[in-house]
Amino acid sequence: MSSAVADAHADHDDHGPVKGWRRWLYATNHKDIGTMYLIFSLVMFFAGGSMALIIRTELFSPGLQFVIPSFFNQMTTMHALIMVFGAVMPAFVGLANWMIPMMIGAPDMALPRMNNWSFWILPVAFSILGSTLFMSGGAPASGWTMYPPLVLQTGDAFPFLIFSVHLMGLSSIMGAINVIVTIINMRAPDMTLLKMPMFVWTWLITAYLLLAVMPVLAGAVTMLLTDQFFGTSFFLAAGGGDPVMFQHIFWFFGHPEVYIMILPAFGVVSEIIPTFSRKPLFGHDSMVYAASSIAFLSFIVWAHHMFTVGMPLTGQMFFMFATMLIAVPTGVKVFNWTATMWKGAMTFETPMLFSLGFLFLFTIGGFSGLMLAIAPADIQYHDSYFVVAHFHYVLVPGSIFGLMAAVYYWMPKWTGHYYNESLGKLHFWLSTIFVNVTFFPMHFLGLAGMPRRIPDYSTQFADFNSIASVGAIGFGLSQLLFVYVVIQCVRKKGTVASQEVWDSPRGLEWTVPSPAPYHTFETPPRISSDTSFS
Amino acid sequence: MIRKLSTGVLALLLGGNAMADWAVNMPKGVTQLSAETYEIHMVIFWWCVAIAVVVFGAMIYSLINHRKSKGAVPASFTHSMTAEVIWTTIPVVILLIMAVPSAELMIKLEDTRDPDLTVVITGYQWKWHYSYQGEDVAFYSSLSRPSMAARRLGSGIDPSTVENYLLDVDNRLVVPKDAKVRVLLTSNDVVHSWWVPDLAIKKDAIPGFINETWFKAEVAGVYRGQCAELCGMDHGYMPIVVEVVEPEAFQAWLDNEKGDATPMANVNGELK
Amino acid sequence: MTPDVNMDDSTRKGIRKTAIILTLIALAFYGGFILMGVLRA
Repeated sequence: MSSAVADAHADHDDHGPVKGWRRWLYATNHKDIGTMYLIFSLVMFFAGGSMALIIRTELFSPGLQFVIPSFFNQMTTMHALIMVFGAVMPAFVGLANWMIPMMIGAPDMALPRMNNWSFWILPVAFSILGSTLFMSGGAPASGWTMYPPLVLQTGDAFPFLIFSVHLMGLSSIMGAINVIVTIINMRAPDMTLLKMPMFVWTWLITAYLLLAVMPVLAGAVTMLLTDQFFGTSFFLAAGGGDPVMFQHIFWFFGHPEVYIMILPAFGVVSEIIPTFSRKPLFGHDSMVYAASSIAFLSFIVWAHHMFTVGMPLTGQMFFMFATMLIAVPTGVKVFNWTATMWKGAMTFETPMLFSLGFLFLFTIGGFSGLMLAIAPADIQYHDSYFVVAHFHYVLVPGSIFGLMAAVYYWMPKWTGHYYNESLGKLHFWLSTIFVNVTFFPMHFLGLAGMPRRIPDYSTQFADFNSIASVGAIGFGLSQLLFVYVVIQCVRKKGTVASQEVWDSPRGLEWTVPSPAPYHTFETPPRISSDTSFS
Repeated sequence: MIRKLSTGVLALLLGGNAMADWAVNMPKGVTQLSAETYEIHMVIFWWCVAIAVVVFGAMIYSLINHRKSKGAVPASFTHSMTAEVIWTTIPVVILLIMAVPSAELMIKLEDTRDPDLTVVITGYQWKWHYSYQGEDVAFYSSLSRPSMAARRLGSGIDPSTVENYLLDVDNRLVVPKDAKVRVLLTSNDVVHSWWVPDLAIKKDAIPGFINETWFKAEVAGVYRGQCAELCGMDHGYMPIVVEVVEPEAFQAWLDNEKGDATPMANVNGELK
Repeated sequence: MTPDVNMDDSTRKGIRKTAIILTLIALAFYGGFILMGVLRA
């Protein structure tokens, strides 16, 4: 490092953060930006969660009790958009911001000012999206999939929906570029790619996925916009367009998108299980290859979301076989985690509990995914509650449990204090029980013939719907406990954490003090056998 | 979790003769293909159960025995080529076993040749239009009046007092038993999807395009389904009712409808 | 470009190069898919 550069920056290096609102609005420090991302996603998690509770309250019993159908559709649409783009994705970007520089021995993200941008776009995007609830015609109600021609019937909210989706995409693309640039250029000198921790690896792959598919979504919604306002007919049959083409483009984005939401969780679990099994990750390199295969396959399976649109038989066959193939690398990951625990010396602190919850319940979501891959059976499952059960199993006890595990695992490093372990465990057990009560009965509803996205249903579906609604309210309330635990930890109410925090965990992030100082690794660290992987 | 799954399995086993209220499994349906669909669904389900028993079994064994509180000392192995090859190969084999019957069934599902009867179904926001090709019989089919009255917010009508709440229509699609019925689907506005679980049919109705599918019901009866693709405000209120009758009864019904064709065509709008 | 971070010139160049390539990839996907739409419609 050249000393001239160091001198030029000496006036604001090593001095901790500026005070007041400037620290946050003008933030370029990866830890500050990471914190803002995490707080933002928590707020969105509760916003989207409240909408889910409105949905489940209405569905508690047959007949309409609380909302009218159009508002119900607005809730399902907004719930999905907020959870996907506002909660899960930003939360993982927050973790990436906090942890990637600390895990690869870099002083910060490579493009700190762009980092600031990519965060601050998000509150703007979601304010715009949220404001559509108060517009004439209400919020978008065509589902987060925004299929035309239905989406073109959206009222005044339509251009705002498109604009906010563009902003979210822009934010994600900038975040992805930042992650890739950081990982490619700023690793500690001896850290070769295959020596990187799994969380960094999965995020690198995720970032490439983001980079490839967020522009595709942007392209799709741009075409919607021109169809609506500028007389084109990309998706309008009357003008020679094809509504199904939108579905193809959307799912070309949409399927990699689901791996964008789960791969970083794979990374988190791959960090936590070895720590609490006191044993190195089994098959680090094959995990890398498995994650890469999943990412590659995710680009050639999109039309399994569309087995009922009337594709040619050969097309259906191709997408069925490609989809079934994904089970192989996903299986490798699950088996490797199991082999990591095998003959370890496990303890069950909260991060480990959430990781185990992830392992069991994500696998159940994987099983229903395998069933959905079978095209002839999928024709029955498609657009039923079976699908709702499937993707909530991979998203809630998958992505969300992965996030919870990550927060509990790294929070002592962030704050310098442990969280309250008993409350953390209580939070885990409540979440696990209620998540199953909520989503398991949905498998039955779907198989028995209940379509998704309906505000009211025939009386034969009443019992399982009531159970699911009770579970949902329980799950929602349990998350308030999480907020309490986090606040107590941030207010430094817990025991002081050591530098290592856990029992000899691997990785560079445990070689810096707890709480992590404002600037870490201003000179690159040396990699030792304790801090490298593979 | 394993308990969750086994409760599910138990429920599925009992499901065959359980009451409709607690239906937990896919209906076997009334066509050859619905039975085959059910069959393949159960086969993949049992594969999943079998894999779950092995994988969750290994995890649970490990969770019980390899814990620090039991004095376990961590091993240090980090990879095993043999193990990795085994658990890559076995899933591939299972998938191949599943792929063959799935592909065969799919080919049958797409085989719409030589129909005995063709029905053109058009999706509208929010009702269906049925037209019997070459028969001059066509009509709209909307949610029945009792359901319509009860569905309103604050209607004060208990849905359980309405027969087939939200699953009943004014005009049913009537088809003959044991006849191959070809279904041509399109839409007049947005994308809809025509789903009748007992016939194992779900196909999207897409504006500007015509989709094909078929069924051959082997048991007379009334089969109910719903629109499966979100199509706006009243997506939940455009059910499908298919009545399968003996061929003679079908012919009589058809002749009767032909006489009625003009008034039926005017039903558009008035029913809503 | 990177206000809080000290780094040598080769890293700085690498960052610039990677960032530009990635931006171009993103733009190519955006433009490419719209072009595909134009050609199909």
